Amino acid sequence: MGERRSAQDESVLQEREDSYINASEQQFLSEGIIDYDFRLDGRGPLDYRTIHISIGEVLSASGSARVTLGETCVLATVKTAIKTPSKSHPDFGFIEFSIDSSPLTSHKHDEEEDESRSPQEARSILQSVYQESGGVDRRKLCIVKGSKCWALFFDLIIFEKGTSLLDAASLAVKAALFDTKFANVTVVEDELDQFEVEFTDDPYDYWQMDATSVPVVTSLHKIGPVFLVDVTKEEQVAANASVVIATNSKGTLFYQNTDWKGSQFGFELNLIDEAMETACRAAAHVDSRLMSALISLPPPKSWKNTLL
Amino acid sequence: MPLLKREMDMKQEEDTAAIREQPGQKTSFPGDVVFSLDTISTRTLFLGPGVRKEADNLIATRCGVLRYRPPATFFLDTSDDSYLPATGDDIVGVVVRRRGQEVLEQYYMVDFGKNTSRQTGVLPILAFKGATKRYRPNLKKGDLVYCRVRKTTVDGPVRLTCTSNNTKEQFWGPLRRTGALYRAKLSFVRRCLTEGSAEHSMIMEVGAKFPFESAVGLNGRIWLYTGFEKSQNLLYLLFRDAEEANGDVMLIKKITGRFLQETATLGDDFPVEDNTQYWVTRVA
Amino acid sequence: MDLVSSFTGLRLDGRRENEIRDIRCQFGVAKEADGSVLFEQGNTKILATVYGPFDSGDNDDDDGDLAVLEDPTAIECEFKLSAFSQQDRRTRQGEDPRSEEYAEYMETCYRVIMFPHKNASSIVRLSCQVLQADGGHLAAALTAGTLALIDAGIPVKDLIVGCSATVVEGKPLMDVSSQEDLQRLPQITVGVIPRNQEIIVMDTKNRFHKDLLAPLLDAAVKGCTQTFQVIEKIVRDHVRKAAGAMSS
Repeated sequence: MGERRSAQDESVLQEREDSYINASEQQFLSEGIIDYDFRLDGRGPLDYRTIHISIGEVLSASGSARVTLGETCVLATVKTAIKTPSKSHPDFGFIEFSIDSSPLTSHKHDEEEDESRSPQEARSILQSVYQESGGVDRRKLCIVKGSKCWALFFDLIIFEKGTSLLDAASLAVKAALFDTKFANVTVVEDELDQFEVEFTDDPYDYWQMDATSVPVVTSLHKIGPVFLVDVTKEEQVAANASVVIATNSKGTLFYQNTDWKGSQFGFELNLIDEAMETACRAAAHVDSRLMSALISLPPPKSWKNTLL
Repeated sequence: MPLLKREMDMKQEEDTAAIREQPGQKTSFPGDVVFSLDTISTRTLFLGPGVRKEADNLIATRCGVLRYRPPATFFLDTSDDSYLPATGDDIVGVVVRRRGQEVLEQYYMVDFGKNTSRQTGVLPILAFKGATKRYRPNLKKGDLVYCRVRKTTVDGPVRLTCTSNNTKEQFWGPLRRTGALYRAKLSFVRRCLTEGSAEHSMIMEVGAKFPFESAVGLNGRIWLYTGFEKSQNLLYLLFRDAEEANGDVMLIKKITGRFLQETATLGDDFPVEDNTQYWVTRVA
Repeated sequence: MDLVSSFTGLRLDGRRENEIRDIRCQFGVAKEADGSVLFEQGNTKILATVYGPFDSGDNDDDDGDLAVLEDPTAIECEFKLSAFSQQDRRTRQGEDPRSEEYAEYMETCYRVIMFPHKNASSIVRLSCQVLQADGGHLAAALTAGTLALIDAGIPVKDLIVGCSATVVEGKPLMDVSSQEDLQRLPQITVGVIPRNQEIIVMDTKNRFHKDLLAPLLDAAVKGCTQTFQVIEKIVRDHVRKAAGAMSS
């Protein structure tokens, strides 16, 4: 692909060389989208690429899901633990995120500047969506109010980073939550009014959370007047604005962020409305597809279907 | 006593037959003895990547399939895409910086890595044809250069050069920034440079009817230039489609025909603006 | 609980004393890496990624002589246990001291089989991350690392395979799982070149009488041979499939 290097461009050939497209390719791309409703790979504006999900791969975790979307591949794992709830929220559980991108960055011995959707930013967005804004109902994690609650530790590993990292990560988080097995516990109260939690011995004695109303994150990019979902690298370069929202099947908004990429025109109010509405539609669609795929999976192992 | 030419030819044919008889498509492991040299008589061998000589055997150093080209060239064809510099390779590199104190001893650090890993070599700033202290290319960070690997040593970085003792082969040097640079698979690049392959004849055929410049680097980078935006994009698509064709002769002929047709019927094309002063730009 | 049932002679997971666990590999899992493999041995799952050879950055300053790496076969290894890999979640703070030790073993092993780099300022970086920890971590990491080097196409003189062994009531057991590991029995892990059965590294755990060393080593080396047979088949199949996609 042609490379345009201006005097301001200080970066030497990096991995982004394949994503730079020259002016005529950009024009071809934009024309296709604006005038003919055609993206380079033939998708419609609100179509995601094929999403591969595989759950329950990591046996040492309480729940796990690996999601591949385009070139992006993310593994989300959940570990459960018992903790004492905080004094300010005695009936809430804990949720904590950590993201590990070491399979990608092992060779960058000098710290290069991260792109805008870097893993650290992704982590804080996920923390904000699922924990702070109530994406996961933390009351469900309560065992004994004020004394014992579940803590969920999400560890994400990024195997490959393409575009749409947040989308893939949130789908992985939701699918991992769907897969998470909470061991059934009995609470024993002793003489000193202290509560002890006893775990069951039975590996198949667990309950699972209903993940239907857990939100997913959708990122949109704007080319001309059209909003595109799940952009490729070329489309991302050609886009002049982007919108990230987190929403669930009930339509509740958990997070939103818009980035005008330094355009001098800004956004008119009605365009913001349109952006939100488009994003909600796209998110609702992928959310329902995800849930129907997860529900149609065969049930996990139990005593009934295990060969002894 | 030197052998008569007829005898030498016969020996060569015997060798070729003996080599061909050995089991062909056997996949090899590092450390495997892939070939025993007792069966052939020629002693000068050309060993390509992946093979090394130990006593009377050829040992593989990677996993792949042994390939043979007469009279005595062996290399390991591997599916992966890692490039390791070897003396005599022509590569397309990117200038990272200029280094050194005295002008006469300065050199450019040139990155020729295949993937995101950066592999750099040193290119002396005077190692260009006809260069003197005052009259030489002034390369900046990000400039492209087509050069040759002069030396790979254990006690130093890879040495590159754009000069050659053979005055007929003088096509190395800086490449225009406004060309198109992209990464290709190593197997495709090798086929492009092998005479007789479909890709090579495609390049020759297109070059006969349509003017363009190209630099094919054995490190998996290909640079193309036509000077006009649309035809440059079409040329890039031609090469990329040829790579995906993976050796299919009919398909490559079809793509070539389509390219020539499209460029013949191209309407107005926009010349690419290029204000930089360049040095040697004629590339084979 | 008996590690080897006196009734059936089988171990807790149904294996015999001289059987290694099932091995599965997926190559090219992390495409940005030069070589990567997702390696499973029983329930131990390791992601090994290789970057290189690439510039070490020694020559990044503007003047002075060109720096040359003192060690031409430089390879940097990293061994990490993921937070979710074991029963209890580990926090990152406080690096596991065993991890650094394992990384050094790996470096020793791979240095033996690497060729001197052609570009003297370049290094190779190998990272093994344990996703599921079910025993035999160092052994699996050694094997996984070799496969990742193969996937990256880095020329090597030979292959390295790892295997662990323990001994119970005088009987050596090959390829230790985590349940067997918990019993604090004598344990050994070796890194071996299968072609000539040369032992490159050996790691022992828990104390034992010196008479037990010979049977432990024997079991571990035999385990390496078995592992190599499985690996060989997997890699040949992988290369054959890829070779089918190449034209001559």
